[in-house]
Amino acid sequence: MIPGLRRFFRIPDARSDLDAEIAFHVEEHARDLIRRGMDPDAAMRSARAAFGDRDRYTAETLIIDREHEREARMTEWLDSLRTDVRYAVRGLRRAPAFTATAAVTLALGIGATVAVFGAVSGAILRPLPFVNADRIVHVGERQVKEPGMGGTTSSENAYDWQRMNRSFAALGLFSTFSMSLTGLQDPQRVEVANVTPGIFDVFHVTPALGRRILASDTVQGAPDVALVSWDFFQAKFGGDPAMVGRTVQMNFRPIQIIGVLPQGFRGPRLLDRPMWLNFTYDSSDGRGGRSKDVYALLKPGVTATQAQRDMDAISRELAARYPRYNKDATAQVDRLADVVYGDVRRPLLLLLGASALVLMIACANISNLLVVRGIGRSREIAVRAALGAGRARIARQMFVEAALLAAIGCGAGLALAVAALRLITALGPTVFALRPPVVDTRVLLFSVGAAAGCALIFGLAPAMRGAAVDLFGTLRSGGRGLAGSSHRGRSALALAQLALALVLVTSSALVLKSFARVLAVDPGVATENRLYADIWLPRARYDSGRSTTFYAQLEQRLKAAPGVQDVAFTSQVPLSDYLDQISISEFGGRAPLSGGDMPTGDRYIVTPSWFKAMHVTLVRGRVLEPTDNVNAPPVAVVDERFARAAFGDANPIGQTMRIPGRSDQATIVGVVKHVKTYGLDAESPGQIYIANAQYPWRWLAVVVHTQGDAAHFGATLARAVRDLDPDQPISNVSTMQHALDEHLRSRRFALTLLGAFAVVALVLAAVGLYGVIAYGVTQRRQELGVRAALGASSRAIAGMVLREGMTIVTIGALVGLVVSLATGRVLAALLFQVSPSDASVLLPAAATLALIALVACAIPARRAMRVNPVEVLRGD
Amino acid sequence: MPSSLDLLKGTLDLLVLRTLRNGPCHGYTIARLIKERSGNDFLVEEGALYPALHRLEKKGWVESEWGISDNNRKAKYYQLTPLGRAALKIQIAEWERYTRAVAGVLQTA
Repeated sequence: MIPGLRRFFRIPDARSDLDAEIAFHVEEHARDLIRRGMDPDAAMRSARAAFGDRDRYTAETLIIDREHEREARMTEWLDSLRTDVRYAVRGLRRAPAFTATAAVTLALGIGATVAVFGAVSGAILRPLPFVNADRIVHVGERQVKEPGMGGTTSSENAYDWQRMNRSFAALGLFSTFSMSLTGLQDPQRVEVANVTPGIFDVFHVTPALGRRILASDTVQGAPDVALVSWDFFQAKFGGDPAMVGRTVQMNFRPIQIIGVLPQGFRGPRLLDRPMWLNFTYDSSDGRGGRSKDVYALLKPGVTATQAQRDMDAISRELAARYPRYNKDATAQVDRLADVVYGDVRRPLLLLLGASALVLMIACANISNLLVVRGIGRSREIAVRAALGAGRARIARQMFVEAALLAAIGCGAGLALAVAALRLITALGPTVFALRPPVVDTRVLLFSVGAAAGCALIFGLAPAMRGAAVDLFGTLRSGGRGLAGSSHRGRSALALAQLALALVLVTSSALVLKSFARVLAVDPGVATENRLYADIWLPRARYDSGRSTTFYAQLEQRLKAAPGVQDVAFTSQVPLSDYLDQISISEFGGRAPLSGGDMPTGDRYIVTPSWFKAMHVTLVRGRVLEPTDNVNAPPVAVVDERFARAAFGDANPIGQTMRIPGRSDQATIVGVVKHVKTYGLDAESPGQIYIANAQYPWRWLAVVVHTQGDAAHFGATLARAVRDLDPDQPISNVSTMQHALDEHLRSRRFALTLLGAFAVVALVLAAVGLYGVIAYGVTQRRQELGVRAALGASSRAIAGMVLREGMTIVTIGALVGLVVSLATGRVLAALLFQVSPSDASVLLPAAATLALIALVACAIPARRAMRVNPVEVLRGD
Repeated sequence: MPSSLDLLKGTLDLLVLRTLRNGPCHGYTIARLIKERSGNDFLVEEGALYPALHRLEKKGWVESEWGISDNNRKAKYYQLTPLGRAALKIQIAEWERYTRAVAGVLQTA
């Protein structure tokens, strides 16, 4: 061992000790022999011989000594550690305000980061649960001039893609709808998908039981077969393998169950579709009906960009070959993850950034707190050093205290993270339910490391400095010796905290204003006290005449029920994720339009009471009437937006257009206000309303306007339907208010989280500022006392303290505003009709920060006012 | 010394402890006493004593201290600790059981 270190640790030199001991032994032996008359030389030789191999025994003994030393040191170390921990506990308990603030700061920083990161990485950063998930893409059609993700396509196009592409190892069609399952228990609406064999290859699905769908199942006229999901198989069939091969009644037709999907497997978009049916090719489908999602597996080595080029070429060829439907259309290749997560990803990444800011503020705060406390203790440290505590010893005591604090803070932080994760999953977008959060060990280590690292570094710093400091100087000056040097550093930390906090405050204020703007949007329909439910009548039992009768009878029954104001039927319900748009090609007196030139609208097939039941406002003309029946000329009502798109400034009333699926022209009889079909903050092209009496439809939803809370009406509705047809299921029973809430869910979630972060950041920054100012006042007590003695008014003294604080606040706020303006653009995903540089948001946010900071400074300023000059000048 | 006995493993520790029972002594004295009391019958180099002593010290059975010898020289003295005293008692009992057992077998054979 290096001699210097040995001296430092005061380890006795075992080697020289042993040498002396052995030398004594041999000499003593020789002395005995001489006493008995031996010649001294011979005696020495004889004694050496009797001792044996001296080197060997020395070596053996030294090994034992070294082990002994090591054990002794360990025991001593453990003993002093125990003392240090006791000392640290006492120290922390003596300063409960500091301990609580520091622990809460750590807990908030760690809790926020770990929770948000856990949720986000669990939901959207983890690979999707498919083999080769990174090679799976969605191929969808979109208009060339409308950038965005690809949508659905026609089966004819999809089959052409399958034949023509050179990029995909497999390609499959997937289209979703729902069917009535009867004959088991209560009639039930089941979400099903039509799939082609390619889907099994794309998603690498091997049925747990039975067989997959084969090419022979997809030819025109092939019998219906189905695979059921594992969960459905357990719930409905009790997991009985004998069910495979049996038939069930779906839409009153027999469908054979041929297999069971593997346990835990979820469909392409992670939504469990209980049944997969064979897609059967229908030559009459044509290219106009775009209802198929296409999923494909990239060949190994082929990138999504290469596949996109391939599909671009194919799209051009198809557009040239089938201009009527494919003109201006292109096939877009999107990664599956982008399709599944879609628009939830950006807000979540933003929240991630916000949580990182909270962690940074927490780290700055904990550093500040510990530095302030450390400097405040310089006297204590000096006293301990004077009493003989070694430098290393003091440093270790500080270290143990900081480590204990970090452990408490981290423990609380993790507990907070677990609680926050539960809340996030409950409040957050639905993706969290599908992809439960995981606590990422890297994130855990990082945030705990960052926060605990700050605690340790800044907990240790005063000890390091304290050890180097001039002992007598510190003692003489009463522990006030260290004020100036690091004060600027701490002010900078407080300033950074304030700036970061302001960024969070402005962000959440912008998001809050956006939320208010969204809420202020008129959906175009009334949402209070409206219940809706799908009542889709199967073709096998209801031809168009019977379905009209059924709906009419149901309307009568419901209207007679107590508390019902209005009843209407509609083919789609606003805000409820229906998607039924039509594009109009032929207008009376105009050449047919094609491709992107055709105006598009949401198709609402409704009963006349719809407009009154949903409070859809008439602008001009008239709404649909009961007299618009099968014997009357076909009519339509459109909204203002569609009217403008189709007719410009011309009066739409009296114009005619051909509704797809019909051969005759419908006359437009009225214009109503626009309805936000896809949510308050989403665009909708406009609406086209036609009468169910003239366009018989078997897939209608009932809407009931009730006097009180609509949610209670579900049971009455179910009874009314059962009375009319016991085999008829109803599904998607919900209220309009709930549908609206679901649409606001993501925004509300982002706002809640951001708001919470902003509050936390504000509090932490205020605490940080308070720490700096309060400490400054303590350090300058003597100076303040002298000033007071020399006649400075207490106002002047308070003003001095406030000025120092407000300088930090002003600079911090300015920096924060600049950063907010610079980073505002990344907020775009969360903003709605609010500019990121909206002064009416930024300035009040800065003012709020300043106000809170003022309070944080006022407390120490008041203390400064009360400094008693006599007491101070007399000494401590 | 063909007539000398090899020392059984662990026996040296026992002899050292027993020697120290009468009071503290330094290494040479221990070696001398063992030699005398055994009638010079053990084939053991004196140097072997030191690993044994230091091992006992590590176990906490003996403790050492530098002192002044009869002839006024610095010498390291060893003495039994209470723990060592207890250990010695157990070891003696075990040794006696062991020799009785061996003797019993040898006599009946």
